Amino acid sequence: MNKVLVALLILGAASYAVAGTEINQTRELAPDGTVSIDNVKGSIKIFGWDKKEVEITGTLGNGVDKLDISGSKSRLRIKVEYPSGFWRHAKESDLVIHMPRSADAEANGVSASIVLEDVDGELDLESVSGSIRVDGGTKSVSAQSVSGSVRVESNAKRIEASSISGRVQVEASAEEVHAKSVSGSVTVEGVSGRIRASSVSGSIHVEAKTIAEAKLSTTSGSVSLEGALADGGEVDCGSHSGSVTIEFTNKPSARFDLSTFSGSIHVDLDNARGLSGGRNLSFTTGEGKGEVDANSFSGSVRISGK
Amino acid sequence: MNTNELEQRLHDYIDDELDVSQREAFEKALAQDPALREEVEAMRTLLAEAASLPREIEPPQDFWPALSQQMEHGEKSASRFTRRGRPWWAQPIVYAAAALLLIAGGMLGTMFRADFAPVLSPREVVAVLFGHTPDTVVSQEFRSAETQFIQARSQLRMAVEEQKSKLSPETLAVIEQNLDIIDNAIQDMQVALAKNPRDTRLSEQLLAMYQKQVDLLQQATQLPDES
Repeated sequence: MNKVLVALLILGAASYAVAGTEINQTRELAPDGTVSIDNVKGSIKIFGWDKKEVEITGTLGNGVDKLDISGSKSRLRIKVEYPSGFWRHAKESDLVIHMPRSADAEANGVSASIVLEDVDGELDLESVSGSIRVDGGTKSVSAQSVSGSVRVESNAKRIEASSISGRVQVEASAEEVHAKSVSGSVTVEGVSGRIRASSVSGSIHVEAKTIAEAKLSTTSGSVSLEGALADGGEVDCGSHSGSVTIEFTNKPSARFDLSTFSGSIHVDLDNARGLSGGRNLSFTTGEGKGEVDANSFSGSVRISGK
Repeated sequence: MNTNELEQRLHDYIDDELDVSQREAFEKALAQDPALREEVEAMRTLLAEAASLPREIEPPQDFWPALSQQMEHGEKSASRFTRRGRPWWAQPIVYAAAALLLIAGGMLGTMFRADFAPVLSPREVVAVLFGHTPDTVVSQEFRSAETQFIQARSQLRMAVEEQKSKLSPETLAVIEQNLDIIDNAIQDMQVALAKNPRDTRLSEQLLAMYQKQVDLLQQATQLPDES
């Protein structure tokens, strides 16, 4: 009996040694390598630096089984592991990762929030209820949460940001942005290329520098788009019951096709000033190089520009 | 009265929604226009036919594979078109049983709520189902596309139903609320389209709304396990 008791005490002490402990580990990683991080609850903070190694610091929460670090110089995997079936009872773990700036990063959390700064490789970040904030990336960024908010500030060429119920914000000079939410609002700023943004009950607000292509769609929210229409640029904005407002910061050269079923249409553009009324309105400004479609079933459609 | 006004009045006349003066004016036009009289008669006949339609019709067993192939072909063909070209749902496909498909594929299901209380009037159902007006734009291509969306939606709804236990109550509530918002938008558009069958923008917007619903359902099936 005493032997069993001693064994249990040793086991308990061993697990307690892991629980709530500080971590400080280092591994080599190639500049073009990939770091993959899994932490169910707590936080994941990732920072880029100039060293060819990954430093893992932070704390593991009570009840965590271990921090598993595996893989190679080209692909390193870091995972907070829990005793089978006991992750719900474990406390939060907070990981702070420093990694080569040019490497790729993948991070997955359930309720863990994810923050990433100064990493220029391809970024793929997912959380279920945690928020995601990205400041970095020059290649591509994918950030997805179910109920958390998503905020991306990046120079990446391609950005995908989505949430089901959280707010999605993208501030980027990306060539291509795809931002969507179901019930949250979507905001995109600073883009000069192709923008796709959608929501169901959230509103969409886009401030672009230059619009090569903008496809913005919501069902019960409103849509607003501001920016200079590129030569040959295409705009397609729609809402079912919300308003659609487009404000061009230049003199757009485009064929316009505007419609509403029970709302109103108002146009305030050079060469088309004062056009209003009717359910459908088609006209051309300048040489008609681009195309602008805007529709709302029961909301208003407003177009303005210089 | 211009043609559009006349058409609108015709629908309202059939539905008995004109006031006394409007009705008198319309009947005066009716007396002077044999074509208009024919159209009124044709619409009434179709309404009677619609009233006798069964609630549900099973398609022939080999019908879905054939349709699937045709739609697949249509989708592949679509890539050849530019944005301003014909969209994939407007590709020519075999239409012979479009009306049957529409009914069997669940069109009536969307027009009638779960308790089978009609959301649309019989005339509206007929308008969407049969595109009864001579130059209707609620085309068979549209109907076929709508059928495909409805099928996809039904399958995805079942898939979401099976995964309900994996999602948190909060996420499920957001999904359900937003599916309802889209459902309401679809109903608005169906009613509007029934009254304005020539409005191609409306039919495009309706299909876009179906697409949005299918996208949301797809997204829901791909959500991570929250249990």
